[in-house]
Amino acid sequence: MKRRNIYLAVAILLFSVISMSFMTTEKITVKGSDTMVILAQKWAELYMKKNQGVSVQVTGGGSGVGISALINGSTDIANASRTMKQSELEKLKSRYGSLGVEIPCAKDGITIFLHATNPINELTLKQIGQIFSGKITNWKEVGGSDTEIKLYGRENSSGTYVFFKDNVVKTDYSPSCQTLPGTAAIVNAVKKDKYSIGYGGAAYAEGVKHCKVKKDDKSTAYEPSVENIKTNNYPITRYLYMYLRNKPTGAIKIYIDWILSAEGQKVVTEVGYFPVK
Amino acid sequence: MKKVLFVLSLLIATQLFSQTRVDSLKESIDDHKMRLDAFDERMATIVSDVEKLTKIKISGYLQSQFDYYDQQSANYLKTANSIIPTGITNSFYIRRARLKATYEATDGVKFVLQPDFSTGNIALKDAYVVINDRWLKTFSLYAGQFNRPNYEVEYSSSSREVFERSKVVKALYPGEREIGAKLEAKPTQFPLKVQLAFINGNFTGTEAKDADNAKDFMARAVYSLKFQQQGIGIDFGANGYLGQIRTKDSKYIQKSDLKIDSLGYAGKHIPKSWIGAEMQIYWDFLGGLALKGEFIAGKNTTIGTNQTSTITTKIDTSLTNYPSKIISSVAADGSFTTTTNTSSKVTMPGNNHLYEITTTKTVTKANLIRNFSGYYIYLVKNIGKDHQLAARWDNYTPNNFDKDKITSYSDLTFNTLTVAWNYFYDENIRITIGYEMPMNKTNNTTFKKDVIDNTFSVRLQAKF
Repeated sequence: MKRRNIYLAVAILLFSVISMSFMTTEKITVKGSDTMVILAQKWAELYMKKNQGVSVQVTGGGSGVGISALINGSTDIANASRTMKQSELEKLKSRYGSLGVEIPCAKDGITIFLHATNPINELTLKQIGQIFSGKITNWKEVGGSDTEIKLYGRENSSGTYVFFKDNVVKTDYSPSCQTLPGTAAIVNAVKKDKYSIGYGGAAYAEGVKHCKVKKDDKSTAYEPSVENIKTNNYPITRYLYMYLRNKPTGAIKIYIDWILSAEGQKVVTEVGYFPVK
Repeated sequence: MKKVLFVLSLLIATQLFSQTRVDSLKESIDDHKMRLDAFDERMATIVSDVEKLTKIKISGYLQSQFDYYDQQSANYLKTANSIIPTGITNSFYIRRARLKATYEATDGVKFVLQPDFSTGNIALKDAYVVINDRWLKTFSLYAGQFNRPNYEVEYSSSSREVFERSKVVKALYPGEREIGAKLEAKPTQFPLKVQLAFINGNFTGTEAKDADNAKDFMARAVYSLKFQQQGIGIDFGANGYLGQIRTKDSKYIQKSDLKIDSLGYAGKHIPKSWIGAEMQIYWDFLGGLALKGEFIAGKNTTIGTNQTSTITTKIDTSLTNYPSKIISSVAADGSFTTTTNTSSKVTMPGNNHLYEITTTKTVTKANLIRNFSGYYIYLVKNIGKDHQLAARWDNYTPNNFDKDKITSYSDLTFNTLTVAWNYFYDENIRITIGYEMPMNKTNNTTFKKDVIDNTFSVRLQAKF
């Protein structure tokens, strides 16, 4: 009896070891946009709960950092809140002989954050650009109080920094614009500073006022709501992207297909962004 | 009454004590606030300094290499990148050691400095200012020493899949760089790149100094097509070179048909020009595949220079029988020899005299004008993320004339097959193993066999 138990235990142990060797964990690395990091982490958590054999590792660092990691091979997926630059594409072509694969996975409206007590409720795109380039330095120039405007922005590895510069500021940022690492840090700073202004992804805006934005003096001002972003009425709308070196296959393809499915897009809405379709 | 007085004095004491505590708390808060303000001031200075430092970017790479050469004979000299002493069949050496400093002065203005520290050789590679237009975001103006606008020249040695550039590109653009000004246009909304460069036209890799008043002109245009669904990208374009070079020591020119002609006098300019067509195809096929090629043809020029040798002999008669200067007749290759003799009297012991005769022979080579052509084709296949196979076939015909009449090594046509395997250990380290097989055309006269000059190489590259 004792011997039979030992044989049984050894057989079970052998079977477990052999079967476990077939149960390898697929690992997917995701790196990049700080705007997308919460969304990416939520996707990863939910997906790993439903797919035990897959491990999804998510880190931020900024869109630029993610794309560099994609080019040097240290990540499978690069999250980016801007499109790839031509110089980055050239590096990808030269290293991998590939144009890369761009997958829009969510929509975002870049929100202009104001302190809750700021009397300003709406600004034109031009005014926002002039504020962040340093041409407008006092709130009274845009109908507010006679106080200096304090600027908070992102570091230059951020896709949000690049997108905002190319589409709104259109020139250099003001040297007085304080650089902060991430939208959450900007929201925190604006919350504490009555005369400040910042910008970032819509998902992070809690405890601050969302400034309505209008294309010009004669247009309607829109706030960054679901409807206004869906219909592209809100002037500072952008796609959020996943970039890959090559066409996805295997576990990566299944993961991306899930992100783009109704279930994955539901997470987008829960986090505060907007579905890609 | 006593009780009232007691309570009153207790109240006053409590009040005084509280006031003292509040005062001391206020003092402490003020003290901490001052320290925080001082800290803020110091932080502002540190932040400002750090921001200035982030404008400087340092990058570079080091290539350590081992070569094993097949040699024709003990007297054979490798003519690619370095002169190897005779009889040596293998070597370790530093092929490239580059450090590049980029300083972004303001948005749109960059300074770039890149020296190269190879074994026994320190050279300046890049030294230029680039100004990017901030209005249209289309134009860039380079001034200084920079890469000539050509695909293979501009493709960094740290990224290239095989060891060296093709023979035709090395022959036309020695040293890769030139000194001058270059204007680049890359519209953001249109996939076209145009480059125009005005350059000295005399850069040889060892000699950077301008030698004449003539300036050369280069132009290149490349258009990119993207078929995203199919995962295919195609870049295609054309380039051209128009220039001239001043002759130095010889008035004779040897043309492509090996006939000799005279310019009339040394110092006249002779033209050089060529055109090229290029294409690069990228296909996201099983991990990535690239097919790249270029064809160039035209007229190239080599300036004839002097080669001088001196012999000193002692004789016991005077210089009377020695002519002071003789110029030979022009040889079949356009060269001629000038022999000069000078003498000096040497007093020997016992009051005897000898004469020291110094004979200087200067061979002046003819200037060469050659109709040439050349091309290269690369096939690069990525295997997974870390491995890459590459093969290149390149042809260089320095002289399109009848191959049976070619007598000079410099006119010899070469076809070269290079194969390489690259392993990307991580984002900084790459190992390359490759084999280069140059095959020269043979003829019935001078070059009856293929010169044995294959090279097996192993390279370790570290890049940061």
